[in-house]
Amino acid sequence: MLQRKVCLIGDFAVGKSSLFNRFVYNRFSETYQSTIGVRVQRKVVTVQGRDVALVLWDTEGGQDSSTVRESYLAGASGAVIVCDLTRNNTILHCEEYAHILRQKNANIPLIMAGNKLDLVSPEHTHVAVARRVAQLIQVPLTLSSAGSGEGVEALFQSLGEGLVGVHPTS
Amino acid sequence: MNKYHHPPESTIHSPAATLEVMPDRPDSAFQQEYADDADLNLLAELLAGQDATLPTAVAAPATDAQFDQNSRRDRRSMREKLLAPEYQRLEQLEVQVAELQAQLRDRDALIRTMAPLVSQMIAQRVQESRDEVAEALYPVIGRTIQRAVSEAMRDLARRIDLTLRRSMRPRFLVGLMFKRLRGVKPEEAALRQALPFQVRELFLLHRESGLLIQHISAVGTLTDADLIGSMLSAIRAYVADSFEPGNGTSLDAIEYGSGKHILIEEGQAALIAVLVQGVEPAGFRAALRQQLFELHHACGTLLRSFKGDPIDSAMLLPQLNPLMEWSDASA
Repeated sequence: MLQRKVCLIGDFAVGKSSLFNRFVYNRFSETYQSTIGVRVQRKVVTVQGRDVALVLWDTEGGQDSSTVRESYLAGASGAVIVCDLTRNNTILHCEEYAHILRQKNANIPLIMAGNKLDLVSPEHTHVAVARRVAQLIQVPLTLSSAGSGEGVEALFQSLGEGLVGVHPTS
Repeated sequence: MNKYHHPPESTIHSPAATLEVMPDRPDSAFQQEYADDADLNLLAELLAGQDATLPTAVAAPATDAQFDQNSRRDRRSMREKLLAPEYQRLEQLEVQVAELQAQLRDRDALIRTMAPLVSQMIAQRVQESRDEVAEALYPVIGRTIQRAVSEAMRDLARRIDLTLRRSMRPRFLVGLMFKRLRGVKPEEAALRQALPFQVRELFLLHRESGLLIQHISAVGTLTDADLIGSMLSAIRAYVADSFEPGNGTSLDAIEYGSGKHILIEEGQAALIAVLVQGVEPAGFRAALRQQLFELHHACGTLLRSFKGDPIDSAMLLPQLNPLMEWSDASA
């Protein structure tokens, strides 16, 4: 089966692990548990009738991109840059994360996840900021909520399609 | 519904039902009847309040039997009224007792309730007086440990015995001679022979991404071999970043369980991780390196450009299978 390494990257507490848990196990917890190091799990998505095993690396988040352990990003075929729609600085940091990932692999398919959509309205200024940042770094934006599950499947399906070249995600 | 509170309201508050005979009662008999009754005052009050409303149609003479019957009824209704809170409480208690009995009958529910308390109690007790608990458990655990050690020793003795019986074979004698020349005593050689070495699992991983390229198992099929491979890579990355950042050193062995190791050998584009049990024979590490070198020589381009697309096993197995053959025949 086709395998692809996918990293989830972003500031702390933006909901990387929650997205990971929602996508892999379809579960959500209100309790915040900080990730130490990295967690790895696999989930198969079907793209144009072909199974693709996404090997997801849920990396630990920090205050900003300076704390990223670059060794976790090595060999990644794609990445989800996660931000918290309730915290403006996490949205602005997405540009730095995209820069780090592209330094390792200039053509890496990326997707930006504006998470915690259930806590803001789609008209919120932070959503507009997220759209602007996504446009700036030329990455598609998916608004998601790990809590309600909204947009999560679509997020990884879209990335899966980008990974096998169905449509470009960067 | 309160089952003790009957008949109740209608009797107490209905003058027609309760008090219709009162005008004809002989006062002395009435007072005697109620002389010892604690409800007398309350009853008197009730009568005083309701006489005025008695309908004239019911003021007919009553017989003694009727009077007795009505008196009893009055007393009963008074008691019911006075004792209503107690009856209610009694009913609640009965419900609670029934619930407790049901919980006691349902063993699963009882275990669910008790388990956390018992665990907490034991943990606290162990913390407070470890020696006492150890002493109390010794008759059980001590015997179990003793039995396990005895079995292990018997097993070792059987293996040594088997090794010695084979020792008359020419191949073994030659091997023994070589070992002797290298300074290994015969009993040490026999002991070493008795502790078999087994290569249980082999993972060929892409060095950069940690993705699994090939997996071979001697003991069965692992369903999550790809995840194990990735986690191994993650652990290596974590160790390298945390303890020796920028130094280029990496994790090359992990020990776990009883005598189980994961040996990791890293090449330019791929790495091999083998899960072994027992004492690693001399030369095994060198063999790992050699096979990895040959693998890179044979499939270097494929390994370097690996992004997760499957590689034909036929190209990889000739270099990997020889490593599985290092397992002792007795393992």
